[in-house]
Amino acid sequence: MGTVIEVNDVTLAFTAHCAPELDGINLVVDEGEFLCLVGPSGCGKSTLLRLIAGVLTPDRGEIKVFGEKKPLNWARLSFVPQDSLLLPWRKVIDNVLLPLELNGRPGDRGEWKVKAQAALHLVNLHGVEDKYPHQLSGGMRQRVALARALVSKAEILLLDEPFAALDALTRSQLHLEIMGIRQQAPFTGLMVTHNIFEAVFLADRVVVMGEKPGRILGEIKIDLPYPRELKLMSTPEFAALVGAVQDLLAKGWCTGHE
Amino acid sequence: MNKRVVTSGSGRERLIALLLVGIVVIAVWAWLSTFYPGYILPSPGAVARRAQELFRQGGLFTVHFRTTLVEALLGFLLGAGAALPLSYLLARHPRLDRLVTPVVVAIQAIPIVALAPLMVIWFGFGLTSKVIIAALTAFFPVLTNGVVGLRATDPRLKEMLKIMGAGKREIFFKLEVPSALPVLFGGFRMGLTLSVIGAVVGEFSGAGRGLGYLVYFARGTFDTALIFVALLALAVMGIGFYLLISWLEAVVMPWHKNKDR
Repeated sequence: MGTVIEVNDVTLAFTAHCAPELDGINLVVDEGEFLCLVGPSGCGKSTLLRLIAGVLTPDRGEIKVFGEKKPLNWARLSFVPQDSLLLPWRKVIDNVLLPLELNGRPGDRGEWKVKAQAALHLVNLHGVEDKYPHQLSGGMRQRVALARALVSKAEILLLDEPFAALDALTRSQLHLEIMGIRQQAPFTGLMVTHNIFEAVFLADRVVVMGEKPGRILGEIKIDLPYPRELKLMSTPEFAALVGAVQDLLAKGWCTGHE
Repeated sequence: MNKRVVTSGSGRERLIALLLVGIVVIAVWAWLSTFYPGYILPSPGAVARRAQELFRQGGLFTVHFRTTLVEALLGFLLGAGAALPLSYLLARHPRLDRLVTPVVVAIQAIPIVALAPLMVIWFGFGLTSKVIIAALTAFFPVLTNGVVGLRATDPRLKEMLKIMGAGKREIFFKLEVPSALPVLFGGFRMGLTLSVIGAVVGEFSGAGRGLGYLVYFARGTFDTALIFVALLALAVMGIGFYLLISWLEAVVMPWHKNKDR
């Protein structure tokens, strides 16, 4: 298992006088791993994701993805945002095949449609191809965004609080589906969330961040076996891991206020 | 599917309501007209007869309605055609915007009614002066809405497309243009309505034909029924333009129409 994402001593400040958004971040993500970044809002965890996606550049330090410093295209690294960010004038199928359209040659449309259809099936969406995003529920829209990220079979999936806006039941359902997808089409996942339970349930490793400045407080290895089911959440092992993450978070509060 | 049924049902209801309102208005008008002489308030019958007369002479639709229609449409196309590229430039280059916008505002502040005689002196009594006046009136709403629309792109969507590998060209055509369309169509709607006003104002300032000319001519001869005929024809044109834009909106932006329902 090789290293996929490497973040070396990354610092980023949006304004000169405030505490830096991110301060000396070091992070390594291994191939096939699902890593969750947990932290309070404003700790810069989404910013870190945007740095890795290549839409921001660090003030100091470097980011390597597959050993390269220049940002990767969607075919290797894809992104699931918090509120789906679908184009409202495109039907579901055309939203899902958009990355293929942007990176491919015209004329391959038929092929894109087949791939988009397959991605929609992977996230359990059937018969909504020709609907517009506003005709779908929030959970379905988020599934479409997930399908769009899966359509080019990227090796890395960045997820920016993808389930934060969903109700608890839909969220649990999508948790199970994400794990199902990992088994069918393995990828390396880096997910940002402020839901500790979600992080422990989904991740192989949870990295805890603190705020002001945004920094890494520590990490917890999640050694829970797969396949994971929802009832796992009521076991003492699960509770112990959640407690460990909470302890790390609390450490951030204490030092942050000094 | 069932959505369509509901829509057509409410459409029929709306049509019936419209007919009822029309009947009531005409009835009240007919009743009121019995209290006044014909040169103040002609009866609906008198107006209909006047329209028929004009129609039989072959003038109403083939000459006057068509003249104003052509003036307004050409003016709108010219005005919108000039405004769209400029709105793109202003939206793209804020510095140019700061330079040009004060000039635009200053020109816009001159009432078109005051500008029309000058246009007639410069470009003559024919079609050209009316088209230019209509174009000037249609120009500004299309320009302003174009700039606002092109600037209203959601920055998060833009970033999303960048991550997906979109270049500047693709971001323009696949994101900025479609997201500007609803606002842009608002500008088109306003511009087309204003271009009719522009054409009529132009005809007031000097013309030999057109619905505005009819009103101007009829005022001189106290032919009030003729004024009513011209006004009704203008109303028909306005409704026609409204329906045209609504139809175009539904064709170009099917997602937007569905959103409202």
